[in-house]
Amino acid sequence: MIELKNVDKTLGGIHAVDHVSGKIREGMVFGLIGSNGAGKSTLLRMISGVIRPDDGTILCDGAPVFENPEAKAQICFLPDTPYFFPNADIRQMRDYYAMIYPSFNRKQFDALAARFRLDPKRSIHAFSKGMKKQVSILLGLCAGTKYLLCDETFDGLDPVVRQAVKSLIAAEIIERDFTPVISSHNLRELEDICDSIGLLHEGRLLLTRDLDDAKNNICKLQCVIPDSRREQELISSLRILKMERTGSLLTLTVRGERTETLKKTQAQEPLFVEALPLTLEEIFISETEVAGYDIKDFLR
Amino acid sequence: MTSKISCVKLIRENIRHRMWLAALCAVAFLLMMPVYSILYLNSMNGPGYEQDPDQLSFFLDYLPTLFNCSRLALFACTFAILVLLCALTGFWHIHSREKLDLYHALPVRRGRLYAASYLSGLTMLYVPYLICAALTAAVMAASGLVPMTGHAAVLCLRAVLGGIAAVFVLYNACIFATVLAGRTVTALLACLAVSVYPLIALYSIFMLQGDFFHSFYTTGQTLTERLALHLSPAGLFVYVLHESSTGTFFTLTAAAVVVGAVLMTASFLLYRIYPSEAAGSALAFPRSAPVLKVLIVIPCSIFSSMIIMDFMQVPNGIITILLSVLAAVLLCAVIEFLFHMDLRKLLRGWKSSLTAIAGVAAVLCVFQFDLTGYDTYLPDESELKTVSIYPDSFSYYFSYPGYDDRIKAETESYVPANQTDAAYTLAQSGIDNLENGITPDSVYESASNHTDSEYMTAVFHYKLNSGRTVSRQYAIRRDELKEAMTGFLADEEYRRRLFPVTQIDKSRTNDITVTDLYGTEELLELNPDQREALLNAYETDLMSADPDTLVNETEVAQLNIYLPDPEDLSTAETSDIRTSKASSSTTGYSGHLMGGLYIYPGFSNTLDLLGSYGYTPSEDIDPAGLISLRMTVFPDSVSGEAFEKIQAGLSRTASVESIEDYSGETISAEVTSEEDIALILDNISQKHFGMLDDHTTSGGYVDISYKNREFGYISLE
Repeated sequence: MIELKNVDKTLGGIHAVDHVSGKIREGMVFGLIGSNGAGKSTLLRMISGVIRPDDGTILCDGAPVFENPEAKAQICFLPDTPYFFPNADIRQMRDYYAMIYPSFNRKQFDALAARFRLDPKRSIHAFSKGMKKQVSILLGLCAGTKYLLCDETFDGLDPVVRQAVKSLIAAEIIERDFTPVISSHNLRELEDICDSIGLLHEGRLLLTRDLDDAKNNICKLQCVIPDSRREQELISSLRILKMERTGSLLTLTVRGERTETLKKTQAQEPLFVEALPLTLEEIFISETEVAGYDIKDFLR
Repeated sequence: MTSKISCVKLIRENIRHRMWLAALCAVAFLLMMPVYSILYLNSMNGPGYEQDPDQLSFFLDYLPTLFNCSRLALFACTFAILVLLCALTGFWHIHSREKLDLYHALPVRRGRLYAASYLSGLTMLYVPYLICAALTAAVMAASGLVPMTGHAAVLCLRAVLGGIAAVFVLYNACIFATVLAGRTVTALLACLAVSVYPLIALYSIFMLQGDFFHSFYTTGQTLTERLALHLSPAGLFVYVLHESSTGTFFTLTAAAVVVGAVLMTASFLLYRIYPSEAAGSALAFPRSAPVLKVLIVIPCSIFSSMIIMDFMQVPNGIITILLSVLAAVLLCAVIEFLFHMDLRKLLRGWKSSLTAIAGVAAVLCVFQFDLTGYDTYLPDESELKTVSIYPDSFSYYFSYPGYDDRIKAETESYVPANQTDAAYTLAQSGIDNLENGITPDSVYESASNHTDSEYMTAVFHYKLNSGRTVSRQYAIRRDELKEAMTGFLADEEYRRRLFPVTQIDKSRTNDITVTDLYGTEELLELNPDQREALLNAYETDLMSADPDTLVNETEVAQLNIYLPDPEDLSTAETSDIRTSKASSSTTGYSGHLMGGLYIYPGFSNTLDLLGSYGYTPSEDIDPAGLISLRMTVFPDSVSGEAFEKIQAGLSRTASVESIEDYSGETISAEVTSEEDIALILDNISQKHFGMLDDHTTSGGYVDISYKNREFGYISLE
C-alpha cells in the first residue's frame, strides 16, 4: 500500500501539493484525476522518489520512498514525456531496465514489442510520439514492479492501443501483485479501468475513494415538486453540490447515497422524480465546481 | 526483489551512453601524445643533432611536456575541454526533467548514481591518457634519441602524475559547477566561474593593494598571490601541467589534490540534496542566487575595471570607483538575465544588486581612502624585532650571485640593534612624506623625466616579534638616508650581510675582470690562487673602509667576478638528463657575472695587488684610441654653458641630431675626428653613481667606441 501523510510541496512559489493525505490500496487500479496544474505529476514524482516532499511522508509498504532503493524497487514511474538514451533501440532500453529491475520479464517484453509491431532495430528517437509511449508502457509493465505510476499514459495512444493497454493492465493485475496508478485527463478511459480514484484540485485532494462508492455517493436528482414550501424543505435536507431549475423541473447534484436521496425526495410528494448516476466526468466537474473551479468562469 | 545494483554495471552503462566522448578522448590523447611525439622526434632527428648538446639539452628539458599535453597551449586547451565535456555530460541529466524522471526514479541511491557518473567520466579521461602516456614512452624508447635513464623516467612519470592531478582538480570543479546549476548553459558559465573565481577574487585584492596603496611592496609572491594560485582550479590545472613537467611538483600537485577533493566532497553532498524540480531553472538552489550574485559581482567588476584601467594606462582614483560601479551594474543585469532569461525581470533581484553595487563601492572606498591605515602603518616599537632597509639604488649598486641571494640581502640586511631608532625615525619620515604627497611613484616619475630628485625610494622590511615580516616602500630624503646608512655601515655584521663579496666562495671563480671609469672591461689573467688573493684583499679593504667612503666617495674601478653557474653545477652533479655546460655571458667571459665590487681610492691592498698583476686603473681616455663617440644630452643640459661650447667647436664631420619630445629637446652628437672627441672629453663632466644614487641623470650620456673593439659608457652630470 502506498500511504501519503500530509504531503506538501511548493514549486517555484506555487503550492503544487497542499498537505495531501491518502492511501492507494494494493491490487486495484488507482486513477488520479485533476484539473490542469492540480499537482498530479508532482504527486506522482514524489511517490516515485524523484522529488522530495517539503513536508509529510510517503510510505510504500510502510517504508519511506525518497532515497530508499528497497522501496523504490517496488515502483516503476512512467513520466508523461519518457526519456530514452540517445540512439537507443528498444533492445537497449530493455537491457537497461532489466539491469535496474531484476524482475524484468524479457520474454514478455519481446513478445509484446512484436505484438505492438515495434521495430527492435530502429532507434526509438525515430518513433512517433505514440510509439514512444507504447515503448514506455511496455517497459513499465514488464519491469515486474509492484506499483506502476503512469503519468498521462493514455495521451497520444490510438483507441486500439488504448484498449490493448487496458487489457494488459487488467491481465497483470490478475497474474501478479500489481497496482497501477494512472493519472489522466481522459476520464472516460479511467472510468473503464479504475477501481478507485483520487481527485486533486489546486494541490488539494478533494476526494479519494472507490469509483463505485464515488458514483453511489453522488447522483443527479431531477424532480418536480409543486409545493414550494416542500421543495425548500427538500433542498435544505440534501447536501447539494449544484442546483439548476428549468421551469418547474429542479435538477440537483446531490452528495449522499442514491436510495437515501430518493427516499427524502419521495417524502416531499413530487410529481416527478428520477435519480441518475453521475459519470466520472460529471463527478469531476461537480466536485471541482464546489472547490471554485467552475466552467462558467471560463465562459464569462 | 533486490535493489543492489552493481556500481560497475552503472559505470559501464554510463560509458556506453557516452561512447562518442570516450572515442573523442582516445583520439585526442592519441594525437596529442604518441603521434605528436613521433612527429616531434622525427623533426629532431636531423644530421648532427646528437652532436649538438644545446639542442639535445633543450629537447631533454622539455621531454616531460610530451607526457601531459603541456607542450603546446592548444594541447592544454584541448585537454581542458575534454575534462569539461566529461564532467558536464556525466551530470547533465540533472538539467533535464525527462532525464531526471528516469534517473532519480531508479531504485539506486543518489550517492551511487553520483559515483557511477563521476567514475565513468574519470575512466574516460584517465584510461586513454595513461595508455597514451605508455605509448609515448614506448615511442621515446624506440627512437633511440633519448637516454631513457631512471632520472628521465622519474621526470616523465612526474609529468604523468601532474596530468592526473590537473585533471582531478578541473574535473571536480566542473562537476561542482554543474551540480550548482539547473541548466546546461548556466552550468557552462558556472564552470568558468568556479574555475577562475579564487584567482579573480584574490588577484583583485592584490591589484587593489598595488594600485591604491602607495607604500605597497612585495618581494616574490605575496600570500594573496600564492592563495590565488593554489586555490583556483583553472590556475592549478595550468600550473600543475606546466610545473610537473618543468619545475616544482609537490606543493602545486598537493594543492590540486586537496582542492579537487574538497570540490568532490562538496559536489557529492550537493548532488545528494539536489532538488529534481530545479531542472530547467538557472540555479539548482534558488535561495543561493542573491548570495552568489553578490559574491560574483564584487570581485569580477573590480577585476574587470582594474584590467581596463591598466590596459588604458589611466591612473587609479575616483574613475576606478565609477568604472567598477558601472561594471557591477552591468554584471548584475547580466546575471539577472541568466537567472530569468527575461529582460523584463532584470530588476527582480534589485536588493542583491544594490548590495553588490554597494559592496563594490565600499571595497574601493576602503582602498581609495586607505581606511585600514595600510600606508601609515608603522609597527609599535615594542612589536618590532628588527628592520631591514633596502634603498632602490642598491639594486644598481650591488650584484649578487643569484636571485635568492639578492632577496636575502634585501630582506635580511637588518640594521644594527643600536640603530633601530634611526631606522624607525627614517620610516616615520617616509610616512610623513607619503602623507605630504611624496610617494615612491612620484620619485620614479621624476626619474623617468630625467629630473634630479632630492628623494629616493627605499623598502623597509619590518620583522615583528611574532615572526611576521611586513614590507613597505617610502620616498625618503636622500640626505637623511645617507646619514642613516653611514651609521648602519659602521657595523661590521651589517656590512657582511650587505656586501656580496663576503658571501661567495672565493676559491671557486672562473674569471675576474676590471672595469674602469669609462666602462671598458679588461680580463685579469690570473690563476685561481691569485684570484682568491685578490678577492681576500678586496674584502679586507671593504671591511676596514670608512662608512663615509662607501656612501659618498667615487670609485676608481670595479671588479667583476665570473662565478660558476650554480644551476649548471647542481644539475651536472644530480642530473643525467641535462648536459652540463658553462654558460657564456655576452662579454665572452665564462660563468655567471657578479659585478659591482667597487674599488675606492683608499683600497690600498686591492690596488697594490692589481698593480702587481699588471693592472692600473686608467684615469683618463686617450682620444687617439677611439673610433667614435656619441654624446646624448638631455633637455636640462642642452642650454648649459659646456654644451654650447662643444656645439660651437664641433667640426663639419660631426653629426648632430635633435629630438623634440614632451620633456624638451634632446640632442645627440656623433663624432669621429680626434679633435672633436678631445673637445667633448675636455668639456664633459662625468657623473659617478654611489651606493645611494639611483643611476639616473638629468645630464645625458656618452657612448664610446674604442679602436680595440671595446665599448664604453659615461653618464653626464
